[in-house]
Amino acid sequence: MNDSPAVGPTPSLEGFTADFYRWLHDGELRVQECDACHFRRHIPRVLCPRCAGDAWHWHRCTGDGRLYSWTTTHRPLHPSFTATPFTVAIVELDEGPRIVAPLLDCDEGDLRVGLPVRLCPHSGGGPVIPAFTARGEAMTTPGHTPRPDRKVRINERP
Amino acid sequence: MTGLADQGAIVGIGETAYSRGTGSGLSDLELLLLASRRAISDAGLEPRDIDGLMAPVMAVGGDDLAANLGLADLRFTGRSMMGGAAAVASLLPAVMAVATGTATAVLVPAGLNLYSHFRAKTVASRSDVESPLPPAVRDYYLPAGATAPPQWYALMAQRHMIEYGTSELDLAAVALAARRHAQLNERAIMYGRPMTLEDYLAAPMITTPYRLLDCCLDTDGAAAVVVTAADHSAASRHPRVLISGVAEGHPHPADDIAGRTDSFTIGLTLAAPRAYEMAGLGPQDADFAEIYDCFTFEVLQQLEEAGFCGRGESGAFVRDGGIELGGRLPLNTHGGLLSEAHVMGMSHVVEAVRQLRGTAGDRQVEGARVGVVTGWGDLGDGSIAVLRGERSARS
Repeated sequence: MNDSPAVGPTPSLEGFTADFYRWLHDGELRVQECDACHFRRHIPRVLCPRCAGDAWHWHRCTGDGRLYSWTTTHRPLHPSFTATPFTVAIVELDEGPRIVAPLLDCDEGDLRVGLPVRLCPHSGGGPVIPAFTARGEAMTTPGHTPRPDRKVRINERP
Repeated sequence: MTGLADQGAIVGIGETAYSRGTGSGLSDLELLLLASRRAISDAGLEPRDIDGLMAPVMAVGGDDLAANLGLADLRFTGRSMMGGAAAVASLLPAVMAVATGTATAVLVPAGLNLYSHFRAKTVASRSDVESPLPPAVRDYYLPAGATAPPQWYALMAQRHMIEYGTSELDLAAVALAARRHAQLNERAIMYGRPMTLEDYLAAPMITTPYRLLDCCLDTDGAAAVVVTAADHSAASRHPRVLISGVAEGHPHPADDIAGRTDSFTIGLTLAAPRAYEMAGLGPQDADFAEIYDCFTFEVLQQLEEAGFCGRGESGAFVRDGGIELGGRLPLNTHGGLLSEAHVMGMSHVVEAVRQLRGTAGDRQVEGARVGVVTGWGDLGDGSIAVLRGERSARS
């Protein structure tokens, strides 16, 4: 399985999305937590979808989660992702929210619902994005440490 | 029955030819105008009789259509932005318009040169086609490599297969039924090209669990219907097809599959009970169904969420051939998006009307009186219409 997705389409680096990717750039995965009802959410929203509260803060996630679902793509469907096969997953974070992210360095045959996974921020040259790999066994390789790309300007944290 | 039940009728249907290969040779506008003129004529009306327009979700705006058709006194316009769910969803405002007297005849066209202008192949090589995507998808799915609909829905399909034991043979049953039905439809792209289970299994994997033959066609073409008040349908020379129930629904959140509390609750889950209540009919009353089949699993999921079987039971429902003509619920009798053509959901409406008029020829469902049609929009928006024919009452 290919473990190195190419540079994806660049997300809008504005507002909450800029903040989200800035945290990733520093190796952290953060989700919004409502100050009123404490509901944690990903994708970032202006209002809490549970209580409509507008006060929130970024909650730092451990980066641990479990595999919820996945698909392994064998035919290129986008010019940025031609190195097939690659796997895209839904990961349920230990903090609650689920997130769509690439799953790196795993054998398709080993994948199962509930597989423990761990954050490995990834950059193929573009903005650092959240990616995951299996946790528990010795899965760490140097290629999975954060590799912020200097050529891409990610706004300085205020 | 409640409210708007049976207040509106589909009195005209029209289609262009459906094509791939060298393409339609027509512009999107020309395709839509051709289908529209045919639908208006089929209704026994003239373009000047059209005073309501639900514009298509893509390609061409309502003003352009109205200017070309000479719709000089439009008094009701709208546009459903629900992708493949828009065609069926547009029937709801159309019924509202004719039932309230806001308009007397509403044209609802859909379609475009999906093959020659907007093909998946084109999307795969041009980044500027991404712009219509919701920000959540653009900013959080695309960078992850989840760039295309088959991947988004494969994530749902895979989870369903694990939770309920749904198998590739169940997906195959949907594709095979569509292809068999297409052999009875000369209009279908896959007419004359039958498919076996071996063909299905040998097709290249696109994104697990979807093989090439789990994915709909991209085609050029357009289709249209005309809706009038049920009691204004005298001009039509066809038996009335009443819109007994119609509803739309949206999953929450609509723009993020991963964020839903329940992975399998889609727009249709919420819309179907509303449409059935309005109609005073249920899934058990349907003689056939035209289910939006962008991918095979989405048919299974919609069968469950529209109440044709329980959650997790769709595999068993389709496995024994029960969705083929002659079975308990003939499904996508025209071949669907998988084997006829991709007309943004409108060909499903047209086929349902044809079945309820009794003019479906070799693929006619005998005695068809009630049909269910669904639409599916990106990330799970849903729409459903319960249509009722009056063929036996008049003939």
